[in-house]
Amino acid sequence: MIGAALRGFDRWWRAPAPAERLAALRLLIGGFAAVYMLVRLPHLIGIGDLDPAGFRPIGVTSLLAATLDPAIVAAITVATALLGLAFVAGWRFAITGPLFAAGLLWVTTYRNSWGMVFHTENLMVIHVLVLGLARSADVWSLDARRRGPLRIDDPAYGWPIKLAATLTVITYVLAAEAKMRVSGGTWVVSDTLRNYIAYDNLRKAELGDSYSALGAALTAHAWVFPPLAGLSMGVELLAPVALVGRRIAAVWALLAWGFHVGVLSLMWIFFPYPLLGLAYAPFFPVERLPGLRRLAGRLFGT
Amino acid sequence: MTDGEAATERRPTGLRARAGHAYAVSLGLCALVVMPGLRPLGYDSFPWSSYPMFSDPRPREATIAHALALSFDGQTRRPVPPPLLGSDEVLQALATVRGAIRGHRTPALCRRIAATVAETPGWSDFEWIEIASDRYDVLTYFGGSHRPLDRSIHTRCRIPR
Repeated sequence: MIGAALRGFDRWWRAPAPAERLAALRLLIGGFAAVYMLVRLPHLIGIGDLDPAGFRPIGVTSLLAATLDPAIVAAITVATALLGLAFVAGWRFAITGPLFAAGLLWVTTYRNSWGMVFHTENLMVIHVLVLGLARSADVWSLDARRRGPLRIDDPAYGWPIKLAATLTVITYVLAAEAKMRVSGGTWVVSDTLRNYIAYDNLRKAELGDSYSALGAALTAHAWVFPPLAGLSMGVELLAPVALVGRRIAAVWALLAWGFHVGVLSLMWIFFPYPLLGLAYAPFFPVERLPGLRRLAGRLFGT
Repeated sequence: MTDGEAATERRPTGLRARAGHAYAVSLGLCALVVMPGLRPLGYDSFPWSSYPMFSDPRPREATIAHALALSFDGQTRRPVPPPLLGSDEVLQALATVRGAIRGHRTPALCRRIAATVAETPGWSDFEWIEIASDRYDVLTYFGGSHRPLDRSIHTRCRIPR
């Protein structure tokens, strides 16, 4: 009985998938991460110049007893950006894939080690770890061009996609669980969301930053917020349904995307990874995107 | 057999017997991602987070630690934006100000901001930099009353001209 269940789970978890799907995720998610590294390069290098008194190591940077020399911060950051290009190109991926994932983990964790933990890059880093530890460059890559064309479905390309989708789901459930643990269902009917939106916009205004005029204006209308809170909690709690099938995943992904549009509109907080749809890409046959196919053909001659 | 068919049949090496690798990576990453949800409330790390950012009950009143530029008579005030505090992110800027307050380093931060403001176009109407913690009613603030409920001024320093 248990054996049959485990075999059934194994068939589901390691269901064969086309190599192109995993490679497409490498191009999309790795491409985003590489652009992130390049665009943020000056900022990420500048982290090395922050006042060491503010250093609060977390995660992998807990290994450090003190801040790194700014030159070392710059060297690691530049090396990670270059590895990002190799990751996207699928060049020597068995080495550059895990190395870029490790470098991105280090650089983004170091950036979050200054007393303020951001939540905009978590899923990008987690997905890059998955892709870096899988055979994501067997096709649509420089490695594949060297070895010759290849077109197969295999479990080795299926489980990383299932894992990436599952990790997306877990992060949403965790966000709901945090709210439920603190205040149960009262989070939905209380003034918590309204106060957060007002507080976040006020904080931005008083720190000289841009804020959402819409969110600020809406805080005068208490009735707006319980339905919004219920909707956001529902999207987070119902995330596991996205693993059931592609159609339901599409509905859920649309709602989750709408949730982030709401966060942007009301709090002026831009979560680029979900807003560009990348957080939800593992749920879909992204290798069929015509633009991506054309791009892969042009870049890798496949 | 065409070239395309030949390519279809070719399989990369090492695909078999990789279930161990699949489950080691899957279980490892799932455990790392789930674990923060099993830790005490409010636990946060990166990228393994419990996503606690909007979970705590948020009171109506909030104290904001910030840097302000003031005119000579103190009547005109303007919050100093994050880039002039050495960061392009508002939360990083907030952490910088809070850290300086906690570490009793506000005079040094004030002088640093003043020096930066002095060299930045568009700030010539201001004479002072002030680092303060101001308490606000978040729901009345956007109704027109930007006046804090109370203030705690940590440091004031002159902008060098």
